[in-house]
Amino acid sequence: MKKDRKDRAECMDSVAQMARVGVVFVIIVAIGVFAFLKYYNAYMDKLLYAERLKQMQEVTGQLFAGLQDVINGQWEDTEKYCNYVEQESFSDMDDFLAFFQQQAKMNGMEEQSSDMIAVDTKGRYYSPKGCQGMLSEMQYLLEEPERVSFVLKAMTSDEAKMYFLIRLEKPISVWNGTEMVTLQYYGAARDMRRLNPYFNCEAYNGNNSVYVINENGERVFGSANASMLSGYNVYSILEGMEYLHGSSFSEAKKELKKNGIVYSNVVFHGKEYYYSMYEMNHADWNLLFLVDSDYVAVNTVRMIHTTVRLVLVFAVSMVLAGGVLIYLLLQLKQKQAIEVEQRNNEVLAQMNEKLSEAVKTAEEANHAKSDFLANMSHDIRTPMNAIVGITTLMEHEKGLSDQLHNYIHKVQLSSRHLLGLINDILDMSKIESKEVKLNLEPVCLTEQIGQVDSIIRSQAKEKGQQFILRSHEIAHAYVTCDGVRLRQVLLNLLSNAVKYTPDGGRILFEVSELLSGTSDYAVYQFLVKDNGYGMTEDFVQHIFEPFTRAENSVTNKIQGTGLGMAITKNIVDLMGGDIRVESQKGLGSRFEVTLKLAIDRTRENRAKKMCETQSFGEPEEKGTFLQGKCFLCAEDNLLNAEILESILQMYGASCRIYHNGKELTEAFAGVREGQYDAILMDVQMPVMNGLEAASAIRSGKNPLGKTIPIIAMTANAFSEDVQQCLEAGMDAHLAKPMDVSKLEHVLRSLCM
Amino acid sequence: MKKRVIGWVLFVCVLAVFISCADTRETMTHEGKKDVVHEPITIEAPYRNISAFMDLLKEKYPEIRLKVIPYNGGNMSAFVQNQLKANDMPDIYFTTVYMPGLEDLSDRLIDMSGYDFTGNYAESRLADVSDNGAIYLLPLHYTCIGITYNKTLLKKHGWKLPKSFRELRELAPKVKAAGCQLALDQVQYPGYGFQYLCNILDTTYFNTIEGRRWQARFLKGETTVEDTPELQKAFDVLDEWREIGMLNGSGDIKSDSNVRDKMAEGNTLFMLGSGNIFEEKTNDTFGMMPFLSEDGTQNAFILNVNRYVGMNKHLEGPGNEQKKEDAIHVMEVMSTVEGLTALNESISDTSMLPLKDYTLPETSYYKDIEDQLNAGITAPFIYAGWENMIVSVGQKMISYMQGDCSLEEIKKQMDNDQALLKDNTGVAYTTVSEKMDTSACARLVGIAFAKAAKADAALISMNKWYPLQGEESLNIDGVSGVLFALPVTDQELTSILPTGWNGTIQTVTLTGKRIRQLAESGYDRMGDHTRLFPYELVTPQGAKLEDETVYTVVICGATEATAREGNLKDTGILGLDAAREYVSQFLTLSKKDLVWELQ
Repeated sequence: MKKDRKDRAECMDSVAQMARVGVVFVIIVAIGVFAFLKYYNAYMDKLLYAERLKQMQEVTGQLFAGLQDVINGQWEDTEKYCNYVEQESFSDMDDFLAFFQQQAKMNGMEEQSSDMIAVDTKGRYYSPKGCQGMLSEMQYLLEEPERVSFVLKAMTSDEAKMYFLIRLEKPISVWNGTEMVTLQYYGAARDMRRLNPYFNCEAYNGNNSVYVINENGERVFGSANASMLSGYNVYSILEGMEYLHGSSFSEAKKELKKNGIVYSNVVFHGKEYYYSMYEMNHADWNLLFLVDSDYVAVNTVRMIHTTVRLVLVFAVSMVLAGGVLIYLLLQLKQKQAIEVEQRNNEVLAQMNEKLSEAVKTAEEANHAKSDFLANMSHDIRTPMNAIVGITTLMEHEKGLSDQLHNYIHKVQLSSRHLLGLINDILDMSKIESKEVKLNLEPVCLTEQIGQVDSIIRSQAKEKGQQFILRSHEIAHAYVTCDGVRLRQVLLNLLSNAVKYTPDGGRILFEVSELLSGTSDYAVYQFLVKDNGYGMTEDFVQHIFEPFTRAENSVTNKIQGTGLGMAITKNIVDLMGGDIRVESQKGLGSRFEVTLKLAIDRTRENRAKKMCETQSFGEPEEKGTFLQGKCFLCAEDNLLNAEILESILQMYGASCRIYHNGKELTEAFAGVREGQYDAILMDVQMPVMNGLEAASAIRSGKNPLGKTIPIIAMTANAFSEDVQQCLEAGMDAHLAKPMDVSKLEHVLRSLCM
Repeated sequence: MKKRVIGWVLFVCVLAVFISCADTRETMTHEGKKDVVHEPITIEAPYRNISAFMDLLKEKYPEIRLKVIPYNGGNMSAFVQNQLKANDMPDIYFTTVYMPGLEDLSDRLIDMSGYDFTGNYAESRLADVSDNGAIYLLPLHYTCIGITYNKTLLKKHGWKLPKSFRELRELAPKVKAAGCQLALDQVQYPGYGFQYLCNILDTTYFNTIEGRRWQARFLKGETTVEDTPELQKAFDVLDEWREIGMLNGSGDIKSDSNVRDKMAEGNTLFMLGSGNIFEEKTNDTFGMMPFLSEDGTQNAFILNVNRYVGMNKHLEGPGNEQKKEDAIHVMEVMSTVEGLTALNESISDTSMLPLKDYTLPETSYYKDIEDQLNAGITAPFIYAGWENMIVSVGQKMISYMQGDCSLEEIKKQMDNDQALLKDNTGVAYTTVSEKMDTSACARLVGIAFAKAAKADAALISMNKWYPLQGEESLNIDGVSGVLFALPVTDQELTSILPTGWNGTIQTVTLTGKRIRQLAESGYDRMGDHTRLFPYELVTPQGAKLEDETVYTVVICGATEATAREGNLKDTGILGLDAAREYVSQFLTLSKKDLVWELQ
């Protein structure tokens, strides 16, 4: 069994351990995967960035080179036009215009939607058709640059032209009929529609924009699909973008200035772009190439993304697989644990079954023991009753020799001792088997003390001891408690005091009510003090243990079972009280019992008067109360019936004895008032026992049955027997063997 | 329990892995619309009915509210320029004059060059307003200044439109011989004189490479007219223009509309000035001719940006994020053909838009000259930077046109006033120490006019914004605008004076009770009894007018009924003179100084 439990615990520990390891493993794997993916992502980003830049460089390199070639070509053409015109000399404006027309024609200007342009020192511009008026963009010429290019859009149409003008080294002066005109700039105006294709790049399926910007970032011109950036100043827009890879716009500009070209990866309006800026030669322009990052190195990106996804899927699969594996392992372990637990449960069930059987057997044995004890008690008491009764009768016989008197007295003493031994052994046996239960009932304390007093006082008197009873301010005389057990406690203490106090000694019994602090309970202190032999300190420590007696030459002579104090302690404990002892060898002992008892207020007032009338310390006159009394008795044992009748007669009383309860009940139906003083009822009888008979009398038709005292006189002496008697309607219980003084005492209390 | 924990841990880990791999840069950036009431965007509407634009804006951005600040005074350019000088502009700021680089505006206006809406403008037009790449003011629409001619009259007499001054010179006597007048010249504003001077000089000198260089140097104070023989010679062309009758004293300094009316009569071939629409008054058709050079090679239409628009820098201040966003939306709507047309509804046929997708409508007044405009036969309008000599030189030029002044005097005036271009405080009458609102300005005008006219009181109407329809306009008869804490010259005075440059003071005679009634009801200029313009009633020391006593009251803004009832009289006293005299007595001027003390 223990082994199973251990296995199961080990198995569960193992599962828990596995679970912890599993969780830690999953966390570590997840962190590992997370870190790996982060690193992988960063690495891929870097790689991708490099790859994209490389591709951008290739694409834009071609584009910029192409554009540069186009622009260079324009400038070369313009230079060529200038060279030609500078080599010529013209007689007048018409001569010049003729040359101009020829040159335009030779260079296919019309086919290219372009025009030859000359600008004079005033700012008038000339086409081969003649003077066209003032050049509206003449501000570009104010500083007399060597060469200048600009784009001019018409006021109200889409027409836009790019001008390429070179300042002539030798200005041409011609007479126009009214004044000498000096042509200072010479070149061409190109239709931007013709140049547009050069600005478009098909590398990204048209998903890019190209902007021609000046040194301030202003858009000079945008390609046909230049729609990514709407604002006029491209630098202002670029400056507002988020730069990736630790770059910035100012750094990009620095790099542009340094290398003539720069690449940047930016985020704009939540979208990622790549751009490249290129500083054009022979022009104050920069080219900006902007492309959505989704279109840069698409295949590479796709491949990397696929790889990343595969790695991700693999990593997640690994994590999931790890998780599933751990889960399955845990499941397996758990299944094993459950199986072990099931086996253990089966074993446990078997054990429980055995235990139940054992408990049942024990209970049966206990019951049998109780039965045995009860029967034994009854069976012993019955003959003891005869012995005690007969010796009592013999004692009162006249004419007996002193020697015989002496023998009879010793038989009596031995009988009483034997009875005491039986009572103690039975009590202790019941206590140890936890069968003792308190029988709570209304109790008059003064009455209880009175009963104890009457018993102890006579014993003390026999030993010439001084017995003093003191009662201090008993405010609440009526309580609810087990009166029998209370008396037992007090009698045990007082009997011991009498026993262990030498003749002529002094015994003090003091009863006090202490402050309880509550209105429903009262606290009582019972003090028994003697100046007897006392006890050693060692013995005092063991006094409440069973079979403990003081061993010395004096006390060894005193008869006892050694169970009295153990029983007392157990009863006090059962009542929730406290018992303390102080003793000094040779000086005496002091026992103090403190009990907290529930106050019985309903009966307190009703019986108070009765209790108050009883005075303590007054010895009852022995044998006088029975004189003239007549009893109705039930006793099945003929010997005991005979003894009972004889004893009663001896004390001047008479009786009518029936041999079972039925007979007595039937007889009682005809009893008249004053015919009997009380009923003495044996309990264990054939036909109808005493309990049934008492109930029948109490509920019978004879009204006297309601009031006549019924006293149990039985060999059934246990407390539950007492309780059963009282519940059956009897007024008192006297255990056999019959004690005349006790009978007298009970009768006094019931009949007075 | 443990299973659950493990399950959750697995879930969280897998989720973390996925999250770690997500591209965090492509996060959602959209924000939900806020249901809060937006703070209104202040916008000017100088001489514009922007009701159509407001409707358009409402359609596109219902949450945006506009608060219109109207101006219908006599000198809009001075008013809006003073706003800029005082850094007291509305959120959306309009101006009429701008020369990039002349003044650093970065502390007062937002650089709009990076905003998407600037992409709608033709790069060539934006290049004209670029201040080293920054765009502080966008051109809203262009007008073309030329010489108006009567097509009908030309055709009637079989004359050909001259293409050069030479041809014009030949035509002039023919016109006179035909009993027609060659030209009428508008001269209501002194600026016209300056404008004619520059426009004609464009054909000889100003619009040449050398001429443009000279302008820049002159503005910087590096050269003078006297130092420039070429320019002195170029001036001679003015004599020829006057000689043939193109420049003359036919104009009416009180009202250009009188000149237009005369032109509409159909017996005059040319007209210099603005306001080219005559359809309501004549069936004749009209066209535009450039200012002509001798041989026609330097002819020039003057291209003028009629309005510029900018965004107040304070929109970039903390707490103004929503306002700025709204203002950008306003600019977005404005920067479309639809938006600009709505904003300039009344002048859509006489203006051109600087937008890429703009095409000249068939009904445009410039349709005839579109080719010339696209060919670039234009010269820039000369105004920005020259403001402080425009009045003085313009007046000299008008005098010259009227034969009262020589060319030398004009040249001297230019050289003499050159220093004023940078600092005109020397000619200021006073300095306003604390901004004076329209009501205070009306009070100033009332006291000045009443004192000059020796009137008992003054009723000065003020301008106020109302949504307009069609050709309606706000109050041009009263005080518009404010005086900022700046020196006060004629420019500032004319910006608030209902009489402008040349208007005279008028009075009515009414009982005290009637005057009070008018003051309480306001000026019902539109005659609909709903859109009333408030009067500022000014009396000596605020004295109460007796009901039955008849008073002589200066009035600015009188309905025809009031004019009849009060027997409206023109005192002949120039409003500008009265204002000059009044403000000159103060070294500094503020609202508290406006006390009409009893004599």
